[in-house]
Amino acid sequence: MEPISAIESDDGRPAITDRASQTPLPPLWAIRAMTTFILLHFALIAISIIATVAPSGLQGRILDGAAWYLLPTHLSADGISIDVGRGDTVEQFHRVEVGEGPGESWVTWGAGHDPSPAIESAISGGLRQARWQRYLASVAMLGENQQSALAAWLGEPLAAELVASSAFRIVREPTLMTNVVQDSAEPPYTAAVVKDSRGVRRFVWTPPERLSAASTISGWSSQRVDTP
Amino acid sequence: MSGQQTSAGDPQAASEVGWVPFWFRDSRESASLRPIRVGLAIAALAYFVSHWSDIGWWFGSGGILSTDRLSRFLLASNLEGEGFWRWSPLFWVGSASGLRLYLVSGAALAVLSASSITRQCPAWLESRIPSLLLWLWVVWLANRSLLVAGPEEMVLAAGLAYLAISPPDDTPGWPRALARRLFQLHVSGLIALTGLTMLASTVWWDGTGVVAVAAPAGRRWWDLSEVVSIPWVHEPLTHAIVALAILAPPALWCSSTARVAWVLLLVWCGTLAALSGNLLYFAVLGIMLLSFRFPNR
Repeated sequence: MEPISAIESDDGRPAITDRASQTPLPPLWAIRAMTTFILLHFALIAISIIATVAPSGLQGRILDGAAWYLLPTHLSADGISIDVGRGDTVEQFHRVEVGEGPGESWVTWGAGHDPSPAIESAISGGLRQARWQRYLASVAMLGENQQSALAAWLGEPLAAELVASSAFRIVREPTLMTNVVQDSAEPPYTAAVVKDSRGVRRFVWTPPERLSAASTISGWSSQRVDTP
Repeated sequence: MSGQQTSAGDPQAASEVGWVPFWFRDSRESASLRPIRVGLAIAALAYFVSHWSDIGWWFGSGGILSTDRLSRFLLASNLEGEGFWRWSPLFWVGSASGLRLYLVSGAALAVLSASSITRQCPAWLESRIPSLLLWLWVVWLANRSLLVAGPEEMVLAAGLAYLAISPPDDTPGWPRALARRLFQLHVSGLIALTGLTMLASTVWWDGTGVVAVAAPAGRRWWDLSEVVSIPWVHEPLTHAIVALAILAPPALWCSSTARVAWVLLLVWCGTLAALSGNLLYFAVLGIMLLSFRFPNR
């Protein structure tokens, strides 16, 4: 154990000096302030990371209260998972497809190109491609959660570039981790491209065609039907 | 490790003498932060360069995430709080040329921050000002990248903040010691928490974790999904990644296992960078791990 002794610092207040290395240490008040900061700093970062798994109410309140520190400094995980991968569908590679045809049931889909030349020329696996994927995943997640208005709002800038297309959708590419059922699932977001009264192209969400055993006949009764 | 070899780069030796020396003791024999300074400057430079061709397309006045569109989206989705604290002057810049000027100035700051250690610059450049400005430049761009930012911005912002505490000429003293400890605790804690959050997913238990990471190959530089689809490859690799993430960070703080843990964690970063394609994130983690160097051995 190396001894610590108190000497006077430049401002005349006691400071702590390590005799072994003779490196001046900051004054006591600064040490106390920095100690408090260190503890709070790491506690808040840890909570923001832990909360990416499944946030508790307490964690949420703490993070809300510390938003003034964590968000301006970009220290908060803020929903960005750091576990590298979970095998979720949202981690699949998303691709834009555009369609042409007279109606939603007769649309012919083709793999669309990425709408921006910058994205088109992006280096594979680079940060530009990662940003594009995060954006598409956000729109897809909103569409999947029936937040069609928000998905349209977020994705609508792409509609302006779809001059010759009547439909737009985001699909997830199959991977080694997906099975046939998952690969044949409805795309997370499908929309018709329509012009509003000002001629601006907008997305109108197209609900997925669901296969169901529920009756679609009104006035159905449970009476037994006798066969002849 | 003998007493003569004890340095602030050796956490265990310092932790034996209490809280204050642990955080604030430094000596001339301690490991330098210069490699970290140069490494993070290169990472920041790569970050700015990556935005060059698409920054106007995302954040310009008619862009996908223009300020007007983003604010209306946040308002409609009751997420006003998300945008309120994400301060950035870039929310007021709409022209693509203005945004690119920001990138150029950021790249220049990255070069200045790394080159100020050569002592061939004006006095103000030898101060902490370039490092502080570089941190702000990265944070502001990261805050502007709402919805498209990833984990790489989070670690880069933290690393540059710690670097701004340390003197650019690497003078021994308590600011350098504090910065080193912040680096060490941040990177070891982050990797340990990564391992713990991995346990929340079944893929990291059933041995398919690395397949889940490598499977969405998309347009990566390389596609390792076929290689890791072999069970005797992906199962041991998955278990090793989780075990290392949880066990190696505490081992970093034990003098007898520190060197082995350090090497293994660098390999861990390289492996996950290759599998996930997120080179910048794991490169920054690897650079921060350099704070655990043991120069006196």
